[in-house]
Amino acid sequence: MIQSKQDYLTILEQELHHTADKDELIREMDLHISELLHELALAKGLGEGAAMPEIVERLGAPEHVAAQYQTELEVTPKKVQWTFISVNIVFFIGGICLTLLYNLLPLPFVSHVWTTLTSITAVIIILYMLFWMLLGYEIGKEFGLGGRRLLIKTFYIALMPNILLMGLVVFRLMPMNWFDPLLTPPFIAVCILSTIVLYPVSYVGFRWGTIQSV
Amino acid sequence: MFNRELVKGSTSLILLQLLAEKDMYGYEIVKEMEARSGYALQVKEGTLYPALHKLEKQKYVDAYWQEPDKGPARKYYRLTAEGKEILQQKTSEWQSFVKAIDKVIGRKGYDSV
Repeated sequence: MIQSKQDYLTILEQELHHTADKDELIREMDLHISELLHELALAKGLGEGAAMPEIVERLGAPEHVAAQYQTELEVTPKKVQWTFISVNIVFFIGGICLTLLYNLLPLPFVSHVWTTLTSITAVIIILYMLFWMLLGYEIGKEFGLGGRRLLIKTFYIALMPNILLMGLVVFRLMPMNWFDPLLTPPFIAVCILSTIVLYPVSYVGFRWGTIQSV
Repeated sequence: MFNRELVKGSTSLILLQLLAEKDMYGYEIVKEMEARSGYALQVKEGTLYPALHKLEKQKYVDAYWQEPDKGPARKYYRLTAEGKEILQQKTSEWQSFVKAIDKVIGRKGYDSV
């Protein structure tokens, strides 16, 4: 039973125990309850104990307020950034492992996967573009128009493996026959072109996400 | 009183619109919202702060503490340039939505449900 402003704030603080920036919210709630106590004292002549049930009804239970606060703010820029960077790295590690297995340990299953994937490169490129669009969308949706700098930063960090691989291919620093019959000049040109349009694709996703942010 | 989910879905838009007119603190926003809607729009007041903090995270609003002549300092929220831009987009979307719904359910000659 919440009988005082302090009771409410204590429960709220306990619920927000591991939440960053909780002090600011608690300070604001403290002020808001003081305003409500003043309002109810003037309007109905209620003291703190008598006013608290109505105040809790108007504010919502502290557990509910804390849960909503945690939901609204649980996604941080760092979480989003490293999720997308990690997923892109996983794509590359997966590709490297498959290429090594295909060339060094040509098991029938690996050969089958390799042949299937190299025969649907257009689909893979489109799916990969969608991944970058999703990156922009999630940042836009979660961080709104203010997420533009986060988008740029995440984009360039996540792009590093792509640039590295492109350099290795263009300057022929890796055994090209490993990728036969994939690395034809038209395919390399498509890959370079796709990399160039990655940012516009992410930005379209970002703008779409910002519309969903409110 | 309206359906809670309906109000919840429009809370951010309402907050941005109120802050477009002047900087306000939480309790003031609640009072303004109630007064303007003829007390039809009533939200759980405590849930406004998570919504305001999210708008702050999205850089649609920023905040500053100001001490009044009497009483403790209050946290005022104000609309940013990004907030104005999204407000314009969302207001236009909302108006199109209302027009479309009006066309469907507001036709003359039909009884409302």
